[in-house]
Amino acid sequence: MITRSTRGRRAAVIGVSLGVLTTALLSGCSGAGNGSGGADGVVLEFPNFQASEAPFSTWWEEFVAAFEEKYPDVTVDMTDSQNSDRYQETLLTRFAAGDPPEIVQQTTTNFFQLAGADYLADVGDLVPSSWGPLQDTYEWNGETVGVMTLASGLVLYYNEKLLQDAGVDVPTTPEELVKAAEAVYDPANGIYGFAGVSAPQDPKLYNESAMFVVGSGGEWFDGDTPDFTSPEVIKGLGYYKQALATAPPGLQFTQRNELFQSGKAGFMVENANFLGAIQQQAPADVKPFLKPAAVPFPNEPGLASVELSIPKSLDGPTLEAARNFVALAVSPEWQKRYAEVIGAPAPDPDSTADLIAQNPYMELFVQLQDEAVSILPTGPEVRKDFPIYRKEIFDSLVSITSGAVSIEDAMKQLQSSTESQLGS
Amino acid sequence: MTTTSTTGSAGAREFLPAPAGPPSARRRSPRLSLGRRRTIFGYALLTPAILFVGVLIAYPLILSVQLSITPGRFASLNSAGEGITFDHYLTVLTSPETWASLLRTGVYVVGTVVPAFAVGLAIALLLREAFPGRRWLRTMILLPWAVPGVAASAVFLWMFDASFGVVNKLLMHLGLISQPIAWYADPHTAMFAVIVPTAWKLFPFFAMILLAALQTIPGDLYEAARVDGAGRFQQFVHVTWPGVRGAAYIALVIASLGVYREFDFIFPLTRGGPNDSTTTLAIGIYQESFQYSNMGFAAALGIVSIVIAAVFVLLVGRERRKG
Repeated sequence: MITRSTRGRRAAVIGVSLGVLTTALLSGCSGAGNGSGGADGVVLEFPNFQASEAPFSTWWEEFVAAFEEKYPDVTVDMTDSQNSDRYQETLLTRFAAGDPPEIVQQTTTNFFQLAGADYLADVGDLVPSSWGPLQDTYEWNGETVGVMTLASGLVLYYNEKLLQDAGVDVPTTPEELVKAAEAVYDPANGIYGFAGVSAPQDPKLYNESAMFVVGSGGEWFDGDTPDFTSPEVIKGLGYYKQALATAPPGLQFTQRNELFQSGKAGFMVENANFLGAIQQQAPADVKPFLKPAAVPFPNEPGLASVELSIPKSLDGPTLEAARNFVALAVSPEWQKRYAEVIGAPAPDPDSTADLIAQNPYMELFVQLQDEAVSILPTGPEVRKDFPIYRKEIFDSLVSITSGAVSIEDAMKQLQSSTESQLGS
Repeated sequence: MTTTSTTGSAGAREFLPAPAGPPSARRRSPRLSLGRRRTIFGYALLTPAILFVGVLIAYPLILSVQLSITPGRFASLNSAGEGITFDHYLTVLTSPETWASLLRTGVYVVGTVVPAFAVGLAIALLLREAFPGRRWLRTMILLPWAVPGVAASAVFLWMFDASFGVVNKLLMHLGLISQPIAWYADPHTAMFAVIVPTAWKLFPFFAMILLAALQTIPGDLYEAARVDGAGRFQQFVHVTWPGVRGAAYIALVIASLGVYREFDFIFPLTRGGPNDSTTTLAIGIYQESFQYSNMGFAAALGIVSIVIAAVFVLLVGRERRKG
């Protein structure tokens, strides 16, 4: 016989047990491990946005297999992470929550954000001293907190057939570039001159505009001092505006690539490794006409665009494994393999010597990389807030290219606003 | 057999063995009263719900408040609670950009909700009528509501593409424009071009809610109105609208709040640009936190946004009660 009080007591016990169970479950969820270690050895989590991007994916697959063979106690969990805002958002959130991946790959512009937050470990002792000056991009407060994995002088790609049809030669000066783009431009037939991006806040907008500015001898910032009103910047932006007038309006970088690869644009600017994409993606009847050349400016603009880092929070065997991973990636053997697979110079300048005879454009690419002047800022304060300043540059470019304000007025305004922000 | 007692625990005591020893030596029973046990049981049953609410709602909210009053600029949640300051709130409230973002948010909300409501109401009125294929059409009308915002954005990005988009082709074919418009690259057209896809996704929500409300209006009322000589417009004003007004109010409030914090359309299409022309409060919060690593400011802006939304709901609720 069961009394009400007995039932009540039992029910109370069940209820409390349910509560405790729920609490335990929730605690269990939050206390899940981070996967960076275990009884079977060390696991290095490595989100890689080049994991499915040929030809980089080939190199990464080979490299990771070789690393795991050399270090059998270490497993690399390489996942395909799209290089997008969401990826950077996830990365930042994971660092903020104290659970970063063991190997961090990011673009340089995103690197500034994590380096500025003091999240990255010094790996300076792993970088060979022979590496080019673009590696300096990853110096932060006297430490080397990133290893360059993709760097290039910017390359002018042109469509030889469109240039011949328009009766113009490959340009060697910015004036010639503008004239050639205008000569090729025939929008009624779907043919454009310079395939330049103009979609708002497209990251390539920065690279392309900076190419004209740096190529003309200017720079956005001299250290931490804004230099938007210098004659070289104004001159470079003048060429940029004229060239962009021959591009389809509102172009995004994926559309830009497609436009050029399909043979509908005379020129575009990209890294040396874009030649590999052309070889793989351009239609057979267009491919022979798409060729690289030096950008037609007095200065050669370039940038270190992708890097590897290790979180500062790692220690013990996990740190050792992560450092071994980076050390193997920068070794001469794997740098040489990189140049072979990618078809463009590796960060290590010595890695491409044997390949110059095999690749007709390798010598040009090596020369451009050697001469490259970085289009990215060097001042610590500007780099720390680079996304803010980049956005302000974007906004000014929109105003200029839409014709809302003159180049001079837009740059004066930008100079004034950035000076007040930087206190210069 | 279960024995029940109307006297609660006292009645239950009849079935317990008599305690040993003199009454004075008897210890008082540690057992709780039935009422108390019921209270505990009730709270125990509520525990999972309280925990879920606490973890999913209260904790992030508390953390946001904590971040918003943490001094300096930081990008780590570990920094939360290191000191107290109201500087971020001061910056948020005195920044012209905050008010500009709020204005843009207002334009975006009104620009989206009003046409979406109008289209939704028209479609609901249409779907109330009996005609062949009505059931099929009802399902089709709901499809935009089921499409993820990001997927819809990709479609509209191509439709509004300056060079190859169907919108420009159509407008040029009709002779309404002579040159292609860079919808998402021009500060003057970008807001319109993000409003269109948002309204497209939203109108089925209104259609669904209003159709459900329309079906609750008795046919007798229309019959009576017709007998009294009311035309179609008068029937709408005096019968239909009073019948759906309550549902319309709820739908408008829910939809407005949804659009107020909308991110899925604006960010993929314009990222808040060009020249901040589509930077609403939601986009501003994202930019400050994830692009500029300014979590304290972003958290303060987020809290201010919540307060604005709460004030909006209170004001609308008060007006509704007055009505």
